[in-house]
Amino acid sequence: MRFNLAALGLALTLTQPLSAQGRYALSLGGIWSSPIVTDHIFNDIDLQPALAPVFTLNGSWPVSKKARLGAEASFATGGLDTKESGQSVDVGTLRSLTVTGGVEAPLAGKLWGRVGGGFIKYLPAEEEGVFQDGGPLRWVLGLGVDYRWQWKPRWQWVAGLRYDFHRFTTDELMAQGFGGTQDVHRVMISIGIARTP
Amino acid sequence: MTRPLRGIFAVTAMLFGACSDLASPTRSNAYDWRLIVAFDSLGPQLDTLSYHWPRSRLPVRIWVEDAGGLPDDVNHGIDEWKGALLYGEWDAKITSDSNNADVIVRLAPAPPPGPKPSAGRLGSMLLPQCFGATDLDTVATRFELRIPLHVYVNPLVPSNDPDLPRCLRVTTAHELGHSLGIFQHSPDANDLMFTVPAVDALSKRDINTVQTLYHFPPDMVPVGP
Repeated sequence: MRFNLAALGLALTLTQPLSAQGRYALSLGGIWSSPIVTDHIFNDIDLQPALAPVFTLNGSWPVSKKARLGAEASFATGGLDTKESGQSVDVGTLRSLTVTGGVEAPLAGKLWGRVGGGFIKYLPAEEEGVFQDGGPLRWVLGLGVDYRWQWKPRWQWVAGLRYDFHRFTTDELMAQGFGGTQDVHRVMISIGIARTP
Repeated sequence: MTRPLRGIFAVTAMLFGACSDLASPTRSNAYDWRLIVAFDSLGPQLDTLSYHWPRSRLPVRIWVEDAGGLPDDVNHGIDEWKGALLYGEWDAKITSDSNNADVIVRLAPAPPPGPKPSAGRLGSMLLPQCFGATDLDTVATRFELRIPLHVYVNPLVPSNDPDLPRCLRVTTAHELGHSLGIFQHSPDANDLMFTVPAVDALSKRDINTVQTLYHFPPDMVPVGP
């Protein structure tokens, strides 16, 4: 059965204030990223964000009996390492802001799944090296699961696992003759609390 | 298969199927940067030696004589060379203490070459306004580079000559290139590291050369403050 998302959203809005139907979550975790640049000058060189803390805000609203439409923003800040011949060197600080929209639905028991897409903006602390023309804005696709359990009335604990994918390049890399884009995979685990309707 | 699922699969196949890894540039047009030194432990021979600043000594401390706009020119040169490197391989800052400097830059004529056989001079001239020189000393073993390196930038025309500021800026950036470890001149007139530099900025060959240099195993180590 096809349903009209806009009509359903409108109906829900009219029957109950949207804010009252919202579920809002705040979580803290860690994020791992695969290398954002791979290069070769005599040896393989990887430029890779270090394991970093990540803060996530999530809001979702019902679009059907089970599914919810959600928006999620994650902010990560950590080191940026260059790895060559087995040696790793910290070359600066890298921040990223990821904003996605997606659909959430229960999978089994207390387990919820999420599929989404959006954008990632890299925010380097210094405009140097591959970021000397600034941090790029790239599209991102993500999947995730949450394990949610009740803490108090209208409050839940949430343990989350996220995976996302984007393709990285910068204006500087292109100016220096790099072709194509780098596939970047990220995995985030988090723990947080949510206020439920 | 339902229409939405077909759509999801199509988009996924398009995104992942079209993936390509980042392709590095070839950097094949780099010129030779290595220092050619004569040694005679087993009879007269030549050796080619590479040097770049180890990460443990970064940022390189540069003392600059505060005259003729030289600090601005050195800062411009630092920005040029730092911008050529992608992975934080080199960085420099101006220091106020010449006793602890790794590189000393003076607005003055280069002194007469000393008698030491280990000492060498790399000169450049942007005719006819100014002259630049970088003095190196590979010490007795040729595998050590005595720090500080000395750079001289010398105006050859009166200070009100309209072409002098550009000459000083280009020559300073060229000499800083030597201080990074480019111990030869480029054979191409379109490169900043050509003997008689005529271009204002680093060429693609200059960039490829310094990138290659900073990932090539060095033969020399710095000795000094």
